[in-house]
Amino acid sequence: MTNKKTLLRETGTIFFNGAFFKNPVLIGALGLYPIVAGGYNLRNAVELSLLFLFLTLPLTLLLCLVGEMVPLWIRPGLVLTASAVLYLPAAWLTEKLLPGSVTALGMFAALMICNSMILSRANDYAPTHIGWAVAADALGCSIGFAAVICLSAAIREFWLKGSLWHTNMGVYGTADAGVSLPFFGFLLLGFFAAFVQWVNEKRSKKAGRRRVPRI
Amino acid sequence: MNTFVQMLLTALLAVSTENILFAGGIGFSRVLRAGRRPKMLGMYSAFVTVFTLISMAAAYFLSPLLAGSQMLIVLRPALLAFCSAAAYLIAAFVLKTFSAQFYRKYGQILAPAAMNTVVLSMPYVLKSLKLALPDALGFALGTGAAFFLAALVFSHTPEICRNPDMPKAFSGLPAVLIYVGILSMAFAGFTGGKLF
Amino acid sequence: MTLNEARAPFVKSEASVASMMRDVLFALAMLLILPAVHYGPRPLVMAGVTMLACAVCEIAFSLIQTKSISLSDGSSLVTGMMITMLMPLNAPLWLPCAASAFAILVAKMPFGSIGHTPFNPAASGVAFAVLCWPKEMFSYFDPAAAQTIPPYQDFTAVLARSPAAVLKSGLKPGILPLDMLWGVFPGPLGTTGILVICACGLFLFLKRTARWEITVSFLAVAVLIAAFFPRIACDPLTSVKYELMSGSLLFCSVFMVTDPVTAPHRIPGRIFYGAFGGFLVMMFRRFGAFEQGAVFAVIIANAAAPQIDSLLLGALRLGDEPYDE
Repeated sequence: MTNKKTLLRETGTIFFNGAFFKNPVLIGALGLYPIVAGGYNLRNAVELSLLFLFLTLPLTLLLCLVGEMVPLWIRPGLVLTASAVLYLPAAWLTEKLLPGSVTALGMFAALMICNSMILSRANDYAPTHIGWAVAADALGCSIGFAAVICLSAAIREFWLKGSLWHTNMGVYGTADAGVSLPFFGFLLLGFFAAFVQWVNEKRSKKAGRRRVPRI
Repeated sequence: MNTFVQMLLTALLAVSTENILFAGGIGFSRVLRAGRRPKMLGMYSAFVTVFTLISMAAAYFLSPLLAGSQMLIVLRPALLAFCSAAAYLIAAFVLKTFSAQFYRKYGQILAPAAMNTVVLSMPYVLKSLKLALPDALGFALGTGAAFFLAALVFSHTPEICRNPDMPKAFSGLPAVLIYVGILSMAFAGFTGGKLF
Repeated sequence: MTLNEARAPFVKSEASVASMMRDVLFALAMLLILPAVHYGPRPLVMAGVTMLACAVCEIAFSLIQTKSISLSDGSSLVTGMMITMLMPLNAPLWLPCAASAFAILVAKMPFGSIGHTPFNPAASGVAFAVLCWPKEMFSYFDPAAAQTIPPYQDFTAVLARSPAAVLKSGLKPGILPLDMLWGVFPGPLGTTGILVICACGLFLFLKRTARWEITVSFLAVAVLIAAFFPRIACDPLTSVKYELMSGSLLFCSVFMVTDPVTAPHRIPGRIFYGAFGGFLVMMFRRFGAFEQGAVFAVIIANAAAPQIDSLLLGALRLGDEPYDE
C-alpha cells in the first residue's frame, strides 16, 4: 500500500515537473520551433499540441519497452525511425479530429518528427524508466508544451488580429505581421521562462526555510 | 563552371537571406546546445553537411516511389527522416568498425547532427524532394555553414546572459531566449518575414 | 605647518558614464534644432514623450525588481532621443513609445541595464517598430508641401518617397546630392541633417565619447561598395553621395555603431567591427526587405562583436573537447 502511494506521488511529481516546474520548453529549451514559428494563432497551437501528444505517448512507451534491448549507438537511429513511422498514425488521428489541420500546418506538422523534446524524452528518459513514469512524463510534457504554445499563440493572435480561434473579440489588432514572426515567439518564451524561473526560485527558498529545524 | 556557380549561390542563399536558423527559428534547440561546446563546432557542422548531402542524395533516388501518392505531404517528411536515420546508422557502424578512436571522440555528436539534418532540410524537402546535384551540394554546404555560424555566435551567450546585475529571473535561459529573439528580429529584416 | 589637501581644479575629471551620456544627449539635441525651426514644436514634443516613455519603463522595471531607481546615468534618455531621431516626424506618438518600451523592457533591463546590453537598445526598439508597423515607419511627410504639423495630435500628412525608398527601387532620387546637405527632404527626423550629424560626430570623437575608428571603417566599406556596386545607373561618386546621405546610414555610423558597450574593446577589433557593420548595411540596402536596414545591421554587428574580440585575443580554438547532448 505504501509502495503504491509512493508510486502515485512520484508519478504525480513527474507529471507536474514535465508540465510546469521542469517544463522542457522553458527550462530545457527543447522543442522551440513549433512554438516560435508555428504557434502564431490558437488553432495552430491546439493542432500542434494534439499532434505532439499523439506522437510522444506511443513513441516513449515503445522506447520504454524496447529501448534497453538495443545498443546505445543504435538507439538514436531507432528513435528517429520510430518517430517517422508513428508520425503517420499521429497525423491521421489529428486530421480526423480537426479536418484539414495537418495540411494547413504543413512544415510545422512535419517537423514534429524531429522535435527535440520528443526525441530527447524517447532517447534519454524512456528506456531507463518504468512505464508509469514514462507515461506521466509524456503526458506532463504534452500538457506543458500545450500550455506554453497555446498561451503564446493566444497573445500573438490577439495582438495581431484582435481575435482568438479566428473569432473576432471586438478589439482592433494593432500590430502588423511582425508578431507572427519567430522572433516574437522567442521573446515571449524568454519572459515565460523568466516567470517559471522566478517561481522555482521562490519554491526553493521556501523549501530551504522549511528545512531549517524549528527550536 | 555553371554548376560550381549554382552550387555557391545556393550555399550563399542558405547562409544569408534564406537563413532558416535565425529568420525561421528552425533547429535552435540544438544550436544552443552546440554553442555550449565551441570546440566541437567544426566537426558538428561537418557532420551536418555530410548527413544533409547523403539524405538529399537518398531522397533524390527514392522520391519516384512517392510520385502520385495522395499522402505526399505526410510521406515526404517521413522519408527524409528514414534517410537521415539510415545515414546515421551506417555512419556510426562504419566509424565504430574502422575508426574506433575517432568514434570515441566524436560519436556523441553524430546522432544530434543526424537529427539536425532532418530539421534543417525539412523546409526544402516539403517543396520538392528532388534537388539537382549542384543545388543539393550547395544546400548541404550552406546549411552546415549557417549552423556553424549560428552556434559560434551563441558560444558567447553564457557570459552575456549571466551576470550579477541581471534580475535573477532572467539569468540564464530566459536571457538567451530574448537574445535569440532580438537576433532573429535582425534577420527578419532581410526576409521581411517570408522564408519559403 | 599644516598642509591642506585640496582638489586640483585644473585637472579634468575622468570620463564617466554620465558624462559620456551627457555628450551624446547634447549631440542628439543639436539634431532637433533644424527640424524644430522648420516644422514647429512637434520634434520637441516627440523627443520629450519618447524620453519620458523610456524613463517610465525603466522606473517600472526597477520597481518590479524592487531595486533602487537610478536614472542619473542618462542612458534611458539617450535611448529615447535616438529612437526619436529614427522616427518619421508624422508618426503617431504611440509609435516611438512602443519602440521605447521594447528598447527598455526587452533589450536593456533583462540583461542588467547599462553596461551589459548585448544589443544597442535603440536599434532593437526601432527594428521592432519596423517589423510590427512598417507602414507607419516608412511613411514620410513631404517637406515641400505646405502643411501645418500639429505638435502632438495624429494628422494625415501629404506623403512623399524618401531618397532611400527611391534608391531601393533602382531609380535615381529627384533631389540633387548637394541639396540633401540642407536636410530638407523626406526621411527620419534626425537623419536628414547631414552637416549637423557630421559636426556631432566630430564633437563626440574629440571628446572621446565615440571611437572614430569604428565610424571611419564603417563609412569606408559603405563608400567602397557604393562606388563599385552602385544600385542605380550613375557614376560612382554620385552613387556614394546618395548612399551616404540617404536613410539612416550616417546617423547609425556616428551614434549607434559606436556604442561603447556593444563595440569591441581593441582598436583592430573596432576597425573590423566597423567594416563588418558597413558591409551589412549595404547588404541590407540591396537585399533586405525594407528601404532602411541600418538598425538590423547594427544588431547583427553587435552579435558579432564578442566573436571579433575572441578571435583577436586568439582565444578561439576549434578542436576536440568531448560534448554531451
